[in-house]
Amino acid sequence: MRGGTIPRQQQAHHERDGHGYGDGGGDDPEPPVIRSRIAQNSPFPFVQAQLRVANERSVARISTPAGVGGSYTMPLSAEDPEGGPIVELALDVHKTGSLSVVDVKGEIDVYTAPKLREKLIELVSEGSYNVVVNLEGVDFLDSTGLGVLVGALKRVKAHDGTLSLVCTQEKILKIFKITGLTKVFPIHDSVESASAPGGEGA
Amino acid sequence: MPTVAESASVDLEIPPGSAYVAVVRLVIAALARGAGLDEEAVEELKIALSEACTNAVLVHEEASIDEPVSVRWIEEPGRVLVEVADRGPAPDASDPANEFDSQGFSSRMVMSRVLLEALIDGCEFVARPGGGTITRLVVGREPQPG
Repeated sequence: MRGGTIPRQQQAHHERDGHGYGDGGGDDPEPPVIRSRIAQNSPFPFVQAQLRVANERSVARISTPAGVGGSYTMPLSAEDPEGGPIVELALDVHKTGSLSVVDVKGEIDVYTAPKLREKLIELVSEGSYNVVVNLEGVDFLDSTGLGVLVGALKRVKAHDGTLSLVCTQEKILKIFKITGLTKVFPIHDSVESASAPGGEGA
Repeated sequence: MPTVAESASVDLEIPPGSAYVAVVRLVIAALARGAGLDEEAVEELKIALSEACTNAVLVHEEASIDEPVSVRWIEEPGRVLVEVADRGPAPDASDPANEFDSQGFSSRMVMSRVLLEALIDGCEFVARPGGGTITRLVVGREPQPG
């Protein structure tokens, strides 16, 4: 399986339809599904709305009416592997003097982190050893994103380079604080301060 | 006076692929907001949940397990629980490679554990009947009126 794409082996998923979930299935080949069941007595009118939000983001469509207390199955839209992304990450690279600045927008998780890792590897292989990763447009970051940043730091350090971050969002800074990475990465409040003389490096 | 629904639950099953972790975040965040958690608590739960789901999905991918990853949301009067159940072999915590690399950096797995333990009110790993691990996340909340 190629990394980062929706696994297609889930086509066979319907064969295990004995969970009491879903609407009984059929003989048609089914796309990957997300199964969901809501307890009979649960007061969750908002779940239905949320699944509609997911639908609008082309995650899935609801195949059976999803009344509260019901159960239903959401087949994923079977578009091209890169299409209809559930979680998006946009990267924009520009140069400021000797620095390469990577503006990151979106969510960095296990699905999108490989894209960031590849971009950072590409920069180093092109000879960009002083890198600023601008996280101001990042809505979500977890350990997979941290792992990518640490990996990139090791790569630039192998070339006596620097990797600094731009971040003022408290919810993202909190992740760096908890994991002790505020001591590892220079963190700036703007790209300007990260690129000021002496602003790069620790 | 007992309320009609003392506890309520929502079950989700996702294929063991990295793309689906975001779907779980989306749905559980909606449930958490509906349960009255404030925005900071919702964000923290999203990260902890993402850690648990990522670990589950990766363990399935590494062991080539096609079975879905199950997520259960359980709402109780004073708290909410989110359980993420996988079928993978338990990670070998005694392996030093799981902790630090040759340059002394923490591995992703260690950072994941640190986040799980710091961000929510409780996190436990229990053996799943039939094999695998259940990661149980606990978030306390104000009892809901009525």
